[in-house]
Amino acid sequence: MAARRLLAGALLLAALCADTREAAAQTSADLFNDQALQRIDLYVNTRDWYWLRALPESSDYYPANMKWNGITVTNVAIRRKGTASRAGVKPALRVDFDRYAAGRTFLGLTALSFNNVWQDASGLRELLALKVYRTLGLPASRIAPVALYINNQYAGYYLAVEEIDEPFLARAFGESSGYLFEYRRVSNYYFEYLGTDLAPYAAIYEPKTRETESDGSLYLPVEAMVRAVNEAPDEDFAAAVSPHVDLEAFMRLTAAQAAVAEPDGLLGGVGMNNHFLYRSGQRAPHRFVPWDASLALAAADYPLHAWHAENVLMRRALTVPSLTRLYYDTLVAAANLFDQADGAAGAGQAAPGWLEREASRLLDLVRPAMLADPVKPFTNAEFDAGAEEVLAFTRIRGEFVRWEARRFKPGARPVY
Amino acid sequence: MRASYAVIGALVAALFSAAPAAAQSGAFPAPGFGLQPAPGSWPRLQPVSVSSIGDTRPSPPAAKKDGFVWDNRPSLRYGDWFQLDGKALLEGAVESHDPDDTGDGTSFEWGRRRLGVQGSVTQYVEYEATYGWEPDGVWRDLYVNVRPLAYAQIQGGKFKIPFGYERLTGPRTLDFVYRSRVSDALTPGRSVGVMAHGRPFKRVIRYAVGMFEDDGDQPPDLESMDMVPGEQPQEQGRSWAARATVAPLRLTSLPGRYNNLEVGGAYTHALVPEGRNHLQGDTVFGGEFFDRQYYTKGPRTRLGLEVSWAIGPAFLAAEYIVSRDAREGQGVGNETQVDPDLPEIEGRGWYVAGTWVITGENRDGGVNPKRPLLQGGFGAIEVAARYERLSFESAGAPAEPPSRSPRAAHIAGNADSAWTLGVNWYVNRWAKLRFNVISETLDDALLGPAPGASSLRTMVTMFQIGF
Repeated sequence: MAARRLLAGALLLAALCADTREAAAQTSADLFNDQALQRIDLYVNTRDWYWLRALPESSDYYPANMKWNGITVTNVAIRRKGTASRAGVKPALRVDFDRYAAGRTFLGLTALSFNNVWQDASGLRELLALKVYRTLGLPASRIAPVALYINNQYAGYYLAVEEIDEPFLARAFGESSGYLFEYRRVSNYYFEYLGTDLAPYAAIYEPKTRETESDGSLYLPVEAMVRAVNEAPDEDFAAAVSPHVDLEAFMRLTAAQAAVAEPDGLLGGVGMNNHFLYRSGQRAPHRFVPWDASLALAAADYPLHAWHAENVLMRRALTVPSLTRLYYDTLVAAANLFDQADGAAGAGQAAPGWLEREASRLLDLVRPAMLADPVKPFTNAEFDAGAEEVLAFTRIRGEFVRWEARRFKPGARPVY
Repeated sequence: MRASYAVIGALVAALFSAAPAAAQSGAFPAPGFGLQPAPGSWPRLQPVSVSSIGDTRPSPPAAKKDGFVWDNRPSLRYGDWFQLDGKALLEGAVESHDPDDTGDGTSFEWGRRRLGVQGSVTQYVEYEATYGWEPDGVWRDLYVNVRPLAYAQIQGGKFKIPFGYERLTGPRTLDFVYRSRVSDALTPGRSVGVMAHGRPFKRVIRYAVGMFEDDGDQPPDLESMDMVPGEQPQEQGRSWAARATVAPLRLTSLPGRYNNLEVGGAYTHALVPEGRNHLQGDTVFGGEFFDRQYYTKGPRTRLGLEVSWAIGPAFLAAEYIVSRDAREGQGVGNETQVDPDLPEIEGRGWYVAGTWVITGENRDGGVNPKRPLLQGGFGAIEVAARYERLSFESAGAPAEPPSRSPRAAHIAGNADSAWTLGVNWYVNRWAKLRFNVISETLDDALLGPAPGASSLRTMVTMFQIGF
């Protein structure tokens, strides 16, 4: 018995050492390296895979093994994710590394999302939008194109997206001990005050950290933030609201989302959507983190002031001159990034900007995976058309944003 | 609840009416609920009294009286042709736990509540029918045993699958309030089936081989899986079991009270349908320390070894049981295969127990006080101690960290070790009190019933009335 335990202990130690050695050679930056199409294998019991696909509304977890770049992670948990993208034949997936073993991580990650690219025929929009956010210095998920294999069979083109969780917070904000909430859209919400009852705030902001704390601890600061945004006097708006919201970060993010023509982000036709809210402590200001940019790059002439009037926070923030300037400065910075040239232009041609170059490079990576995808909801012709639409956006959008930003210079009244 | 009152009423009436008979009965083992094929109970053809677990001695010469008689229990008799004995059992226990995670404090719970009959028709046929309310009404035993010869008998109906010394020991002759963890977790219990059994070679050898409709009622209910298209429903397969013991000292010239050393082994085999259906580990404290988290499919096997020896007022018993639940096709695959088999889930447990009747009564066949309370004495006192361990883990796990994944090749196992110290007070032939202190230690407290608490204490006092 003792010999058996000794042998088992030695084997376990050897396995852990091997796992550590392999993992040490790779980092999460390698996993999210969008310079290559990542191949990821998931191994799932066929019964589980059948039921995962057969029950689109279920978020039940199923056990699996995951393999990437020679590293196999055993006993991970996978489940369906998404709302509009809950496709039966091509489920969006979330992989949890610590569900069956508390504290376990893979390359420092506790979870990973596989978006199923269900709403984007080009397969490029979210890749490019999140890359723009990060390049502009905003906290946003890392993302990489993936050829996903299930039980050794190609399951389609996916996007591996970094989850907004504690490892993300530590990377983006340098600490992860605060209060993180995921926004749950229940109706068209434009940041109106919902009253002193905390239940409406709890309904739209689901806690992702410190879940066991009281509603008061979680939501009193949220209620105070929304109340301040709605009730602070015009002349004192910035001073009254700044303790509750990082207004500069909010303006930079909304500007970046406007630049990439994001119709389903903080400002959109269905109200606020697709974001997380984070505050590092009880008295710290809240910060917004973008999520799910699959509808970005909506149109090259997407207006820079869409839904500003409806959203209370945006409408009132634009009355503060310094914040307005910051908004337009960020728009111009984004536009300049889009058109940043690398080398000389060809004869008779304009030099492609950074955004176009990135789109073209990613398209080369994505194309074979997209064309071979047996379950994508688009035809190959639709994929080509979608890709061309994105490329056109990348060529035009920078100039459009600069022109519009000049037209609506700080202090001017927005015109829709 | 009405049934409980009926049982209580019957018991009280019987005990009051039985007092004179008891005074005449002398020191003779008490009949019990030890059911076939419990140790000592198989050669039961005694037309006067169907003997209890551990009672291997012949019944005393009975008064040849037909009709209703009281011979330690109510009985109807017509010569050697027909006998029907009444049976009843009532138990209740006061328990307290530390830590008190439920906040119940000290609580009282009813235990076994049973009524039944047993007897014989001619010297070739025996029968038993016992109904229990614990907690739901169910027939506990319902069988007929045909015994043309002592060494070749056939029993059919519902009864205990022949596996596990302590499991086969009836509640009236148990030494502790609770059976050991290994007996509770790894033995099959009762099922419907047919069994050949007997005691050849001058009762030196005892054997039983049976086929049953399932794996018994002791494991928790099976979980059924949702079927995928084209799949056939999976039913639990039949099980079979075999048990053999030998009493080697019967071949010597030792006196009868010392020669009943019995050693043996048993094996069962059953087919268990796909699902989270492996055997689980429960603490005495209440709650699981190894829950049904993992998918299994295929054969479940058990191997048991046992020894028991009553030496005058002392008694020793020990068992070692290993169970294995197969996990055919339950894996998640890899580069070369889909849905591979996983290592079996192995339950492994043992106990060593000893008792001593400090008032001097013989232990063999159960303790029957020489001087019952209110009949010139205070009954019999017995002290008891047991140490046990029950563990669950993967059999031949691969070199990977243990996991709670339901399809983990290397499961997160756990183990429960326990000391039990007890005092048994045999008030008279029918009534007894048992007091036990149980100290449990879990290997992985986080998987236990009170997460974070690795040491669990239970104190329990149980009364038992029965005939």
